[in-house]
Amino acid sequence: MPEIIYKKPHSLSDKPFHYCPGCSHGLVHRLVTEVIDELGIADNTIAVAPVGCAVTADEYFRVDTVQAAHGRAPAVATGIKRALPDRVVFTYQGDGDLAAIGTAETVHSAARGENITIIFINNTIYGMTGRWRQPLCRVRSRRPRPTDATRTRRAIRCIFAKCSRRSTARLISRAQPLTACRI
Amino acid sequence: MSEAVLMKGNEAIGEAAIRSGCRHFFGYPITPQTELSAYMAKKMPKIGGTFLQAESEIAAINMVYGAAAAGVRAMTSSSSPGISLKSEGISYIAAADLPCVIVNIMRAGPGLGGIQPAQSDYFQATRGGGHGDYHLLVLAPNSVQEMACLTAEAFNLSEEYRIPAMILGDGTLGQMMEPVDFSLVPEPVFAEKPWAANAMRGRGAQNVVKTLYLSPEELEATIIEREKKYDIVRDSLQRYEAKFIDDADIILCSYGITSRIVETAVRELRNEGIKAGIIRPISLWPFPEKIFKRVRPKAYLSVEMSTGQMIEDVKLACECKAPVYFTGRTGGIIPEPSEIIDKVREIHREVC
Repeated sequence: MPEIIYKKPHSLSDKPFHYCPGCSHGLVHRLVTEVIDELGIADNTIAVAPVGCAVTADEYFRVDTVQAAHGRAPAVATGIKRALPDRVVFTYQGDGDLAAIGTAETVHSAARGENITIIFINNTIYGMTGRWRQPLCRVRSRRPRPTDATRTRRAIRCIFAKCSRRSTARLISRAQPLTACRI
Repeated sequence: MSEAVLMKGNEAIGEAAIRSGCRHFFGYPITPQTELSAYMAKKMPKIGGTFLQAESEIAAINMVYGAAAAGVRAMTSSSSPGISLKSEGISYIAAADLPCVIVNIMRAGPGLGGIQPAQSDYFQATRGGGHGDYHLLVLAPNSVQEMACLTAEAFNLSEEYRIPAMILGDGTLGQMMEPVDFSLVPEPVFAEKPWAANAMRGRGAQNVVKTLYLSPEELEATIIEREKKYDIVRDSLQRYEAKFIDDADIILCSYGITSRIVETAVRELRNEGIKAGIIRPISLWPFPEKIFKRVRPKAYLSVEMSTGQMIEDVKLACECKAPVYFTGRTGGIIPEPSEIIDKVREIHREVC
């Protein structure tokens, strides 16, 4: 009997991704939902979507989702987690959302030790609005290069390193207040 | 057994919220609402609730958004400059049809303004404050007792209609002490929340709390659907108190603490033989316009602690069938009864 050893995670919807070619959002969505499946927490998880390319994350994550205002996802997640402490609450944020407009919410949710997980996707630009730079943009780069293959591969390696099965399980089950995956 | 206790207005709001089943309060320090946050900080841990001092008003209102989206009764409070900061979040809460209670204990603006009481956030409270086509249920108490009662009602109404509610008080009401009887405070009526994003838990379908609609047709449809709800509220939730209106030549309109001063003035005017009456809106949105259709005074006088904001609603409600005058103080000054009396005498000479 053939055995299925690789398949689309159940927590990932069938909707085709709207993300640009070369963007790693689709890959990270897969990793996140894979981990949700492995831990068997889809029924107990609430996602908080950002403003930015992943604003419609609810269309891909098959878990209850709350869409936050720009940068406010950690505050929204704080409210959810304080209301329902036995749920797994995570935010999914880009760099403009997390590291520019939402710096205060990010830093203070970590400082308070909120039991939430922040998944940070840094592509060094505001993707939706036409590649505006953001604070984590490399100083010497002439312009952002969001589709640079080398960087994307490095990013994927980085995410895999951070989100290998064991460490991701730890990441979600221990619910560290802030986990930044620098891409 | 009912028993009145002496409490500050801010504390009465806190106690009423707790009795209404609110267990999640997200605040940020600002004068003159501090006693409310302090009361919640003291009480919430004892009853297994959450008091969280956020890093900003913006974070606090977004925590309310999260908690309300998760399906619990949540509350935040602030004063004028803080409400400006919360306005973004309030717009999102309204757009997501989430119930919650927001308290504004007004102080004088604009800008940092002052810390003394004012009523200059009427436009902000009743016209939106944030962006987009939305409304809040705005309730304006004029006593410590009413602060408690309207807080409880705000929670119930907000859940019933899925419209965020605002208690619009001012520094005087927040800080002053009066007897309050909690047996008169309405009981909580909890609504079912099948829409809450509280994790699927066998529901089978995903709940999403969102405010983005990239299709204009879809967005327009959701706004029109919400507007229908506002129409029901406009018709059924108009609250006011009217006194001496049947034979009144001049009707004084005021809300909140100003209405207490107006009542003193009107009683004195009546002793003088001037037929003055009172309409005190309790719901500022929806504005109680129906009562204005049933009276025929020779003039109206809007008395406010602002440069004249509610006067616009008075003009709309009476359809300018009689002249509408204004008097008031602003910048943190409370008008004296004598100032109001002088103004009414002047109007009386003009119109009677």
